[in-house]
Amino acid sequence: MSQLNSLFDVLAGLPPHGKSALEYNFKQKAAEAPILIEGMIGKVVNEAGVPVLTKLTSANVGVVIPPDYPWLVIEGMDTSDAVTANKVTALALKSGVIFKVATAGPGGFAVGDLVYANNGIIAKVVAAQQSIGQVIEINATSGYLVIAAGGSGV
Amino acid sequence: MSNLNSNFDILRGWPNSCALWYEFKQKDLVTPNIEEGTIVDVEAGTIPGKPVVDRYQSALPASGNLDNPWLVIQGRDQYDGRFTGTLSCIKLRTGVIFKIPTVLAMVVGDRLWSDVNGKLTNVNPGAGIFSLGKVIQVDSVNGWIVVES
Repeated sequence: MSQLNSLFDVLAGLPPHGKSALEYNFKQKAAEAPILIEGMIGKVVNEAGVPVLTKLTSANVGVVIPPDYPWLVIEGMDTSDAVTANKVTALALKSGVIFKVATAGPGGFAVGDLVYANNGIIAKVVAAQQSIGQVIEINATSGYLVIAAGGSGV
Repeated sequence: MSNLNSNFDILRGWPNSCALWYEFKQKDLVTPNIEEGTIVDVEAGTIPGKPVVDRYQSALPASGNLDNPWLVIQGRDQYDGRFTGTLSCIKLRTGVIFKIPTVLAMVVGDRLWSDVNGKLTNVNPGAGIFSLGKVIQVDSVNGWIVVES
């Protein structure tokens, strides 16, 4: 979010846009490669008693598989702040956030598509992967998607 | 929400400690115009990459994931909506409590879905289809309910 040439942005879900999504800082998992950068989707795992973030690959929807709790990295290990603090900053996606994110292949998406995390990268749901959000806008020229994430079953 | 005689209102969840809010164009040729309190979903419009919304009927996505309904809080029945050509919507299930008129008989605790006209119903459309909210207050005299989502 702090990179000047970045296509990544949080459009709604952080102040002053009204809603405040849940924000937390995590260490990156040891030997994480490639490193976590803004726009990636992570999950929290235990590493010697310390919560750390690693890239998420969404599990399939199912009655026995517990739901994913995806996090959106908004300040990754490609920024000096995160490197200095040795922590990335992430938002709990289920707490609700609308964000813009660069994608290598926006042509593969359509407005209305559900998306999931594939090794931390946003991809289109094609089978029964647990969705992390829905595409609500596409700019193929500039190469970004706008995704609305959040919400839980009631 | 600005209609003086309206029973529709957002009680909690917007704009503070709020649900996600966004603006969308109404899909071309939709009649009648979409009004406040209608449930809609996002789909691709005629302009590549740009979204539009249309009335939504609750359904189970093929992947088994939650569906993604939005609540119109400023529709084309209001001057602002007509002037801007957009509908103001909030994403359901992200934390909102709202009051909405209904002609249906409902009781506290009823789960709610969206019917074919984008109106709230307590009639379950089918097994496995996710509800989008729950009734937490009923005023049958004045014809409104309070919904959490």
